[in-house]
Amino acid sequence: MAEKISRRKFVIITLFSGVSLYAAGWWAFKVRKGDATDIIISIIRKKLGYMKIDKSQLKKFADDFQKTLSAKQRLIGSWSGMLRPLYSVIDIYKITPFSDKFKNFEEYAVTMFLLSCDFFRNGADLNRQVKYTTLYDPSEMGCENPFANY
Amino acid sequence: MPGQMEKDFDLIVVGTGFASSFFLFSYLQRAKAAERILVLERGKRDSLDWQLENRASSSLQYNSLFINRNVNKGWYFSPGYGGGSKIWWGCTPRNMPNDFRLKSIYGVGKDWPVSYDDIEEYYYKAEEIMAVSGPDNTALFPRSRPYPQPPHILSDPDKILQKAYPDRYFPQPCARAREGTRNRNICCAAGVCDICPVDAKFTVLNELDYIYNDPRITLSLESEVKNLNINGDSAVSVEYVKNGAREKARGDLFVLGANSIFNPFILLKSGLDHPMLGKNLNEQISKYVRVELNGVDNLQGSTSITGHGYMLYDGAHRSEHAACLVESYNVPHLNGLRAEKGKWRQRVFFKIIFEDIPSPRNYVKISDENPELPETVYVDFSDYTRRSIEKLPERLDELLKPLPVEDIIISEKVNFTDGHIMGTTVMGKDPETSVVDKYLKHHKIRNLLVLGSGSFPTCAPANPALTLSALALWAADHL
Ligand SMILES: Cc1cc2nc3c(=O)[nH]c(=O)nc-3n(C[C@H](O)[C@H](O)[C@H](O)COP(=O)(O)OP(=O)(O)OC[C@H]3O[C@@H](n4cnc5c(N)ncnc54)[C@H](O)[C@@H]3O)c2cc1C
Ligand code: SF4
Repeated sequence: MAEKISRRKFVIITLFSGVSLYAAGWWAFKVRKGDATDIIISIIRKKLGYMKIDKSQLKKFADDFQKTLSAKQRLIGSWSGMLRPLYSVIDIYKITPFSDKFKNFEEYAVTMFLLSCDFFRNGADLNRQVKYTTLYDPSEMGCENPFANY
Repeated sequence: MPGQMEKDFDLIVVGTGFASSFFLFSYLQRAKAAERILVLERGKRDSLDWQLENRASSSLQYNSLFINRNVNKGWYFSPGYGGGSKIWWGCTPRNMPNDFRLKSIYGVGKDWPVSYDDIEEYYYKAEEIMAVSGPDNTALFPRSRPYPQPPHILSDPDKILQKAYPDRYFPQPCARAREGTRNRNICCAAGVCDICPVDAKFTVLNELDYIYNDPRITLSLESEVKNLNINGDSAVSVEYVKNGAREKARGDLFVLGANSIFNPFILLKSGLDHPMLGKNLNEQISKYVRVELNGVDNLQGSTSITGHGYMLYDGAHRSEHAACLVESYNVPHLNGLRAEKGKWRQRVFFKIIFEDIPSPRNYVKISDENPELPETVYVDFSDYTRRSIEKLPERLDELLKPLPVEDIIISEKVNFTDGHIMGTTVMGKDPETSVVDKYLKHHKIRNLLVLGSGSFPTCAPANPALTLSALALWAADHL
């Protein structure tokens, strides 16, 4: 009995230490720098997986996009990145208390990517490789709404 | 007061927003060549370039200018030269005729002391100055002349709704140019109208700036009006602070256009107490609705807000619950795009704007903590509005039947603010129950006009700037 408990304890301690170590590493390399790019890339991959998107283009978008986020969004985004291996297969954030916020963030990231790449300009052709052009910012760009008729 | 300078003017105007600028537009046309007019504006002239560079409509922090302890209810405005015209979205519906007679038709709220017909001519003048674009079919609000500019292009879901409701769904009347003017470019649906990067919406800075260069006007910027000095039944002078010094100017006629928070505050600071002064602070209550469609793309329109729906506006229901106005957005970054393959644009984003019945439990007062600032006190909106909000889900199900609806998602909370501050210097026939008369003249101080949407006795779902601008023209015409 005593041996059984200590084995379970051992497993728990090992797991806990592993997760803590991973979290600490994640904090040091990602959260401390406010790096939310992992989760942004994962969102686009997961949600727009049917599009041909070049890896380096996506990274460039994530870099630019995260600069527009508030400090709080970046903090949440950078921590969220820790769960991205799970996120890519299940909707892990659905079980968290910030499920709605994360859903909004997902949608915002998808919207910004779609508007910032050449997909619509090229007739929404799914056979073409999608290129990130520049971050969609109508305040800066003026008349760049890709759908408007005027 | 030591060091105080005194100057004499025929007219002294406070503020340079819609109310003051439209009043001056009309006043100058009849003023004598030798007239001396002083305009006191608390803020700077923040040019469009400055605004775009700083991503702010004003160099003054609006929320540092008043106290609001209610974390659930905001009041939003843009101080400085041009006032709210810098930040508004250019939506310019007229009130409907029945909005002026809510009490006599539906037994709720109050009637206005002016009717739709009284001010129709001034509505048109205001629309002309703003170069408003609007629909051809305007049976709901009868017009003496067509809109100055043609209508904006609707998006495809709007067209479906227009077909289903031909008299009650049409392109929104707006001051976002459909055709370029001498001072403005054509609107291209950029959808960042708070600060339009292409200078397409009407602002005081683009269309009425010339007024302030009139040789009869002395424009004094960074001059914050503190109070009026009253002698018997007349205002005799205004006190203001410029460059840290208190100054005084004497005048024959005084016009307040400082908005519905600061107009009552200045009057209270001038000792003009009245049971209704500052009371009935209100604005419309709004909610967002996202509608996922099946097979119909959106976003083809030519401006930020394309469709305007009056299906839930006027009618017998108004004796029981509030009217509401439907706006459909045509802004990809606000509407949001869907991720599902092929469905990217199959979503409509509506704003539903409800009227409210103003209540004296919501008001503006002189802050006890800092008597140099106004304080807003807001308890709640009316049950009349709440009943309408509760009915929204069922009414939307019915209303949106013409669209191929997949899902309707109504925002849980009502919006924090719409930036439409109203009701604190109410107009009326009876001096006991209202602050100003139908020409916006103070009932007691007859050389004092109090302009703006503070005068509105009720809160129609329609946005206020066109109506308050029309009323400023009407007031100038009836001096
Ligand atoms: C984001 C936003 C969007 C909006 N969109 C719309 C829309 O689409 N359609 C619509 O109808 N309305 C809209 N509005 C509302 C509209 O802007 C206001 O109703 C309108 O600006 C009120 O006009 P006004 O002239 O009474 O006051 P303001 O425009 O607020 O002008 C008041 C002026 O007085 C000055 N002032 C204030 N106090 C003093 C003082 N003590 N001394 C000297 N000067 C002073 C201010 O600096 C300012 O210049 C919007 C508002 C916001 C915030
Ligand atoms: S939709 Fe765009 S172009 Fe039109 S007024 Fe708004 S910001 Fe300006």
